[in-house]
Amino acid sequence: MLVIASGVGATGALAQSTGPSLSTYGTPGLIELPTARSLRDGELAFTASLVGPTLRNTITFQILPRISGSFRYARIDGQRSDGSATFDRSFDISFQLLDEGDVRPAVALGLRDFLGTGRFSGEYLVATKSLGSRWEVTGGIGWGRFAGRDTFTNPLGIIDERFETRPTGFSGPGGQVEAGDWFRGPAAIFGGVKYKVSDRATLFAEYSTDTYDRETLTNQIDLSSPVNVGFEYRFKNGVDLKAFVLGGSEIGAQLSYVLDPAKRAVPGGRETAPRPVGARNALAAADWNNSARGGGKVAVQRVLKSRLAEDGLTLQSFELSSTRATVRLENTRFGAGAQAAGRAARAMATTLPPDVEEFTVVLQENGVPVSSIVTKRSDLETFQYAANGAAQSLARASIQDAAGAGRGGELPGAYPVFDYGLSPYVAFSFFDPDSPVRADVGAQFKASFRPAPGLTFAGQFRYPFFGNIEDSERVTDSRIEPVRTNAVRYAQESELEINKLTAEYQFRPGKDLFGRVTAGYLERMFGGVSAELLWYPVGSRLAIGAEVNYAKQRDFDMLFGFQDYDVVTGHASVYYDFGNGFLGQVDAGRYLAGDWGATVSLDREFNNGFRVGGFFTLTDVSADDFGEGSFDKGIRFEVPLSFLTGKPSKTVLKQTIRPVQRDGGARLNVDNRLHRQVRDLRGIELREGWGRYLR
Amino acid sequence: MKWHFGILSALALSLAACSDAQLQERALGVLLDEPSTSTGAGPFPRFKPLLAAKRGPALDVSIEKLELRGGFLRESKNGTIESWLGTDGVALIFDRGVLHGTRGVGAGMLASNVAASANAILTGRSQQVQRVHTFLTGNDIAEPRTYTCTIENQGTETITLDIGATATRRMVERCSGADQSFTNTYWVSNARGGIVKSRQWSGEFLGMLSIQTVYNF
Repeated sequence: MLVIASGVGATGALAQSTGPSLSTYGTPGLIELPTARSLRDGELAFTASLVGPTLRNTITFQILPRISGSFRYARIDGQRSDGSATFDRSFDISFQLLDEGDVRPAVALGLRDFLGTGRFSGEYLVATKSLGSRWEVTGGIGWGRFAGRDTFTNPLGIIDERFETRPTGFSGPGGQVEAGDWFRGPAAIFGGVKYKVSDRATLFAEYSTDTYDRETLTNQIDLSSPVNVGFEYRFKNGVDLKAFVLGGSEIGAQLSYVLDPAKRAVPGGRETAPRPVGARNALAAADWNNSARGGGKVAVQRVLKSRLAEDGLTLQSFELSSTRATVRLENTRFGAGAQAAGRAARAMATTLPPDVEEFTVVLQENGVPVSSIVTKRSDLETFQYAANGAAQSLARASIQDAAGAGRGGELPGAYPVFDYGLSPYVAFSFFDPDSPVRADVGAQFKASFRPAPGLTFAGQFRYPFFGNIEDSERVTDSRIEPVRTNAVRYAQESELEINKLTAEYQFRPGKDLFGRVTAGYLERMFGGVSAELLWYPVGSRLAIGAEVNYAKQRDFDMLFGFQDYDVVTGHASVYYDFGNGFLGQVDAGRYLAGDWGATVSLDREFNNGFRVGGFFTLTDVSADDFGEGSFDKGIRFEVPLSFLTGKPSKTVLKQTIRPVQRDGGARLNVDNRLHRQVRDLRGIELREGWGRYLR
Repeated sequence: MKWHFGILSALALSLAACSDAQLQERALGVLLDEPSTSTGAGPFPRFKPLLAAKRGPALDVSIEKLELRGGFLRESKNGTIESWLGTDGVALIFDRGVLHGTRGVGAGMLASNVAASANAILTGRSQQVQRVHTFLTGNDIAEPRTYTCTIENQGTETITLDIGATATRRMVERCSGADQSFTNTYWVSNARGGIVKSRQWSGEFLGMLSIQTVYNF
């Protein structure tokens, strides 16, 4: 058939065309209704849709092959008493119960808007079946918002009469899990079909049971019929554009894009080629290895240093014996630690005298040795061109803790290290009720001075040129200590900001242990002292840490002064690597506002460094005292710059999105928390990145 | 006629050759305060001594899909494996003229086993062989893939190289694996015995490379 024929030789296009269509809610669906399709494992879908007075922006993440989660930010015009728009944040979760078989349809269960204010709340059980290669039929039963018309008594009433009525009159701060409402009240049947016209064009028709009651009441939408029809076109770049008509007269449009974090823009990367490892005997004749021509350790070190520098590796110490050599270095270029180790080993193999057989590369962060990778020179020679060289070289390499590496062989002039940079910056503020995205743009100056390993004096100064964060009228209405909700005042009352100004000491108290003490102006809103200890054996899935801070609230001008509020805050943390890129973290302790509780986080990190995660914090601050949202929660994304450009880089773009920032469950934002800093070099990550060792 | 090997001094094979992309990248670099990795104007540092040594031949390589073209000089030889360096620091690795690996051009061909192909092509045997390519995926995983290839000796063909008309034997290799199939063509010089021109598949990302030997540059 056409689909098959046109798919040959165009794998990329084919791969795109097999993805599911997305509904206006940003989850796999027809027009408004969900289907039982799912994205491929790990995919991220971005959707913006305009339906009558409602603009919905949704991010859906396929967390596991059978579980997906969505975060949605919606603007609904004219829903406030003064006729202005209201903004709504909601979360969905969906479970793939059954995969499609020859006869059996795929079946999914979903909870829409299961946290939050419940404006879109509804639950559904849906089945989807393909008929041939062009038709797809979907039918389901829904509750809540899915049961707006043609409803019938909830069949779950057989189990318990309570299911027959759905609690109404929702009030309160929102954000809580409204499990008591799920699958309750009247139910309705919905359904629809999808017809694939070509690889790029698709038609939809559906029978929707969502009646948009509130919007109909305010005359903002006119749904005279339950039938919706739509047309979708997929552009070559993968963007989908959908146009549709709801209820016979409401016209809407939608844009969506699906990103696979496991596929970087440039798969192999665009870094320049490593030095080929040649016959080592030829190196005996090299000037730097020939004592008759001024060669010797100093000359070798000079050549090695410059070759490492070509790859962005800063040599800090070099020790050479007749058969062994050890380098300590800082990697400023490669996101994958394994690649830095591989490049360093190559620089050694193309420089050192032929008798040197064992190479030890100690990777450091901020002058502190983290891990060492020991390899045999002959392995590098044997495997550099082997088809399975990555796996073979990994099997024969040894990754060890580098505690106690000392300062032996340190290069003269390795310290002090001075670094500075001037760059623009953008600071965002999300989800202000009047303006969903606010931003400040300005110049940022950073400087750091490291007189000895691990000891760093650093400052970050910002000067905003323009922006609208300070225009916000959001003043704190907190019932607890306003540790975060005064953000607008900080923006209003500051000009030149001393963002951070700290003295930090990092050290290795012992094997598998890392330590950090930081003092000064730790972050925008707090200064003080922070101390942290981390236990993290090489190759371990488990790491345990503890942090104690004394923090005092800074003046709103973000200069040197402090306000009266101070607090002792700190957490005990457990980190666990579940495998397949899933990382869990629990931090229990006392938060900035003096509240006690715990934060649970789960991140999925792709091998290439792309990260998607979520977290929530429950503390002894009650939902009412917390205010809007009831408790702190959010999602976060990290995208390595190399994912976008293909060039090696340690820069990572990070963004945390909270539906609302309140004062409960707030943590101090101190720099260089240890686990994050050393994790990439503690074994598991090094091994997982080994594909780049010979790159 | 002397062939002007101007591509040896141009930033040609780099994927950054597109000026839009370069501009975007520079802008990103400034915005994010990235450490500069540029090596200044002119060719990649390790390329300069190769160029100065004037030891030929060179390879003229085009990425057909992107219409990019660049010159390469041999940087090292290890047994049958040769690594060729491009002006801007990318590298192509060959086993007796059969593509074995790529570095820096974006295609993630880490390494291969193409020895059986090379043997058949150089000896002019029509036969079936297996080859393995290990690709680095966009998720940094080294993924070995095996292909079954049918090699066919298509007889003599005179091609034009920079040194003039050259008598060759044309060898065609049709390969298929679990997910992909491709056809490579090699022209083996009668006089020199080696591959002097070829069209070879480099992986899904960049597709076919056209490679031609240039003796005077």
